[in-house]
Amino acid sequence: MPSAGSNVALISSAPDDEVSLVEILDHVLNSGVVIRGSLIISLAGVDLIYLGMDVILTSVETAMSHIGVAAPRNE
Amino acid sequence: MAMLAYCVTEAGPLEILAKGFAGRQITVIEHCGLQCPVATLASVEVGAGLAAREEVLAFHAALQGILRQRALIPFRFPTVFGAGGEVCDHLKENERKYHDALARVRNAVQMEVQISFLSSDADSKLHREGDEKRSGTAYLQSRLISQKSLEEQAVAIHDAVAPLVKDWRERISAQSVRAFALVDTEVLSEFEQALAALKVPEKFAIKASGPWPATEFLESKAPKA
Repeated sequence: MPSAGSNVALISSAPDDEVSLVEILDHVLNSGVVIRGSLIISLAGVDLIYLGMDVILTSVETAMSHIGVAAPRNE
Repeated sequence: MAMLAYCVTEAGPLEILAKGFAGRQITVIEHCGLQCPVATLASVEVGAGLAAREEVLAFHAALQGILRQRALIPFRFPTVFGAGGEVCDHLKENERKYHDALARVRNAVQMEVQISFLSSDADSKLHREGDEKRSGTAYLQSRLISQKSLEEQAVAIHDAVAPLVKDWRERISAQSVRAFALVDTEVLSEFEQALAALKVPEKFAIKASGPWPATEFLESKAPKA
């Protein structure tokens, strides 16, 4: 029978440390309503539907590199 | 002109941060009994500035400021509308869906509990070592045992906090169980205290985070895995 311990880590949604930051980025970039189609406009000749997705991918990579965590990769 | 949309909330008095993403002033568009805080952007910002970590955090801070006052449905960052009229069109098209979802999570926030094995845990070592020597059936059986163990721990945690939880949903994978609790804001500190007081077997690592917008509870039923 394994012994019991208090190994519950409570992480605030305030960006106080790097662990919180990872959680925040995960939520801001991966949770919420996703708008598709014509509601997203084009500006300066650039299709924002494509640009928006590209920015999301870039920001995850960039954020991960800022905090020294390797971005997850699908293999 | 483009508008970065933060979230959708039910209409009512709302205090918002003076500035959010990119230091831009946040204004509120109201339509169909719904409110949508937005920031007006120049086209160059849409292409150049969205990826900065600080800007994502500014977006998050604005959402958290609103979440402290009422339930919200966030837009995934970065969601950009063309002009105020497009925001109103969107609110009109989704009026029923947003009102239903916001009523479902009113006065509540989402807390997340991730249950996994400690990396040094003997069980997980057992499942890794010699995997290549064992049959496929034995490997799958060991994985099944691991997953069952995680699920049982999730049930134990749910049982411990059940009186404080309005709804509970789970996503199960081979390595972890990610549980989502819909918690009334009035009992949020009690919920956190109950989690902190949990005694769980040392082989598990439990990570709880929040409060977050209740995005897992916007649908009346959990999506099928």
